[in-house]
Amino acid sequence: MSGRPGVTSSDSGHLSRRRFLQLTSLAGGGLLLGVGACGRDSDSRRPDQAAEPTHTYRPSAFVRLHADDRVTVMISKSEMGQGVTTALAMIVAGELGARWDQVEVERVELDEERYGPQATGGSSTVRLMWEPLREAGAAVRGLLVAAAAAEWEVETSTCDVREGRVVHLASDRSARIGEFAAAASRLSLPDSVALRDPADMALVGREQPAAELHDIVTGRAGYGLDVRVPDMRFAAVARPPRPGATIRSFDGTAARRMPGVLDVVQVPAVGEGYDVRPGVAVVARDTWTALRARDAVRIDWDETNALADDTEAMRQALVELAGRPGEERENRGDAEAALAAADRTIAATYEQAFLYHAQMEPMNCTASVSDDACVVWSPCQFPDWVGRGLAEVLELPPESVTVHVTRMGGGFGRRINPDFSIEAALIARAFGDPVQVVWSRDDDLRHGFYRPMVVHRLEAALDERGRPLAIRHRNAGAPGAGSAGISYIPYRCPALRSESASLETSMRRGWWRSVTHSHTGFAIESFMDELAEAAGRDPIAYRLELIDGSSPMPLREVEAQGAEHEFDPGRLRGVLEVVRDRSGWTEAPAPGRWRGVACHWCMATYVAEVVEVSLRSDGGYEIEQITAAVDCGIVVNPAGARAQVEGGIVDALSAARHQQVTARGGRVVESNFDDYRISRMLESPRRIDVHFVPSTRPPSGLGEPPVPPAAAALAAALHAATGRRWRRQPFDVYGAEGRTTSNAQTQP
Amino acid sequence: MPSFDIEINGRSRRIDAAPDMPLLWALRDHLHLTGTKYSCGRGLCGACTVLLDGEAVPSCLLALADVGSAHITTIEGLSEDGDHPVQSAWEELGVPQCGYCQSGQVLRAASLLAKSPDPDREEIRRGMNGALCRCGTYPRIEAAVRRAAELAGET
Repeated sequence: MSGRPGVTSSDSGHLSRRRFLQLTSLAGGGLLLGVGACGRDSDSRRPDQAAEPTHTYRPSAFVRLHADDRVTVMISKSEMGQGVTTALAMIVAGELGARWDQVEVERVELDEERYGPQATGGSSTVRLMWEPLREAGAAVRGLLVAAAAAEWEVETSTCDVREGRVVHLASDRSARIGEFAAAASRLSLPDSVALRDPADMALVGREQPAAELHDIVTGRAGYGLDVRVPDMRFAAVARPPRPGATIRSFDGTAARRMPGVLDVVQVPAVGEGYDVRPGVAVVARDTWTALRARDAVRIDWDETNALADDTEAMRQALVELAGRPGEERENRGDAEAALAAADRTIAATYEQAFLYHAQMEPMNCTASVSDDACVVWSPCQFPDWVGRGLAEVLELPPESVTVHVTRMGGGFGRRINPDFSIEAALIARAFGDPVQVVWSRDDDLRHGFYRPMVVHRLEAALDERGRPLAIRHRNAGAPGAGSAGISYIPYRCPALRSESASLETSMRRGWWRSVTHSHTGFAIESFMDELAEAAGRDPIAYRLELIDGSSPMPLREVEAQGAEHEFDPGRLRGVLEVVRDRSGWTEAPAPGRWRGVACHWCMATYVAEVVEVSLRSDGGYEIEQITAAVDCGIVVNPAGARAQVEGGIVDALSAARHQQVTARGGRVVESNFDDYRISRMLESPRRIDVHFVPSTRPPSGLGEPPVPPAAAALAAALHAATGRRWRRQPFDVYGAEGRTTSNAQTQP
Repeated sequence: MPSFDIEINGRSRRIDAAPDMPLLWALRDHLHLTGTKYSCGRGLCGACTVLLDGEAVPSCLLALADVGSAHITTIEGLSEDGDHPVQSAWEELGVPQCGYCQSGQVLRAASLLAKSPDPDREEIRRGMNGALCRCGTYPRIEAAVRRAAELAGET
């Protein structure tokens, strides 16, 4: 096999990169094509670490074309239900001109030198892979066309690849793509890669059945928990009752006596950001035995330094903190003076709880560790972090560490943290044979990395027409991932002051679907509804007037893996106009129905949602209908895209209505789905209509952007229905609170 | 260790395990039938659903000792070729996202339609309410049950 390099360039708008192609002939008459980027390249890092510029060849896409027409797309990102497998394969095949039934996908293990950044999160995958995958598909197409044109003695410009065949457009001549694979593999790479007009990517923009759909409905799709390797045993871990508890001693005698129990091993705590808590693992021949036997292990926990946080006390402290000046984050104009001088002011405080990821597949990892090597099968989102962690903690060279990334039953950001993978490796090393560590549901819930509790306090000075002259935004939460955030206020407002305060807590925090936006979206959009009411204005018309590009907010968002996006007010107005026109907004709703609206922009995607509710005679409410408008550029897979919007909305409302993680004396109170409620079918919206704004822009993310506006839209609808404001989540637990304060003594 | 002979997907299978072991774990860890999923272990979520004489039950709460001579159907045994009307409807409408809950959803739907071949919307929503989906595929599940009823009616 010989790989021959070539260089090409393509202009991708605001980012221009030089790409390298690498072409290899395969035995059996196929070809392997790799696409790489060179130049300033962002490393895959944890979201809280800055990207370091590198200037190296970083491959980012691989495609194999076989003599039998199969097109294998290597999938180097984690599949957690967001549909990247299907979307990435569609992009390659669409650019190439293959048929969907010719496409197969292959999930690759951790190897970033070969496959480029593999961290999956931030709704960034389709956006970052769009270009490299198109170039891979286009390069294969170009080679096939060149090979066919040479054979047929025609001009390459008269040939194309369509529906899985190489065709000569002027005549009837055509051949299977596989027929020319070998010849194509021996050609010189082109100087440039001609990308199709996206409208000509036949597969893109049309619904395709998801890549592994048949396996899922027949029970054959394998998740992390389904990994089975020879000699594998099962383990369950007895975990600390409170953060900071350590093990003085333990006695595994009773556990070891139980039939099927093989060993009882200590799990050392690991800090350094890997966050493995101390514990005692029972290894057994099946999961049930391991779970039962761990109850029989007697552990003497030293709780001298254990933390006794109380989430209710924390909430009160955060409310108080949000009422005082904090650390300045933004300051444009003189908001303080404007607030002091204004005739009319509005203030409100919004409170949101710790949230658990509640992914249906509990945490798990299978590990096999010897003296000089480690292999894990992990349902993880950041395999690079897992690989680095394993090498460091086990003191192995990185090349001795293998990370297989399995399909996962939901991720939502929990599977970013490498703790569960490192823990499994430590247990496997102690035990000697491969071990699958299974977290029970209450393990999972009580030892999570939660979306932080955050309190937002917003105050505005209004002009005589009710438009904001100044906004002061304070938020208070625990430091770290997704907590205090900058003010994504896209509205005209001459003065803006943004402050944040933090309060340390033993509750671990992590990245929860849409991260900071999950709470800033609710706070800011709820506040806008209150301002619109104070102004006596229609909430959509009010917003449309104020989204005029002069907002004081940061105009550029730097997202995961360094991608940048500049806010476009026209696109935010655009989605508001769509929901206005498609939800029936301009006419009164049916009797007994009320509507609310909210919009948000994040991860380069613009979303607006209208929620329509009805009230029940028992004092409850039904979510009757939701209309969503999304501008995410080109929609690669309409079926998958709609699913992400529907799912994100259902998820967001589920959290807003029912969910919170609470702790008393350091112990998490909730334990399973009876006290941490995921919305069921009967509680879910009866109808969700999703409208995508037609676009020729490159695709942007969808996994997270539908989440931020949903709670605010629901709160606004409930306000329309009840006259009361819903400022504290979860709504169905705490109910409606007070009234907007206006020039009055402020109260939470 | 006691032995249990249990009829699963039409075959008698022998499982050597404690009488109180839930069938869920026997299926997954002893028989390596991993299509039936673990999610809550307390009968709250439906991910572990199997059919017991056609009835949808949570296998995490069904002890081996209590199975007796009942016919157990897991997702792997619902059809020969994955072409049960529910499975066909699920594929046609692209129901799954992460897919982890879907074994349970499919079996619950199959059981619902076997008892009520032409359910209306409310009956579907009530009948499927016991199966949780964190990805929010409920609208599609509802539509797919209706579609499955149509497909079943056609054969």
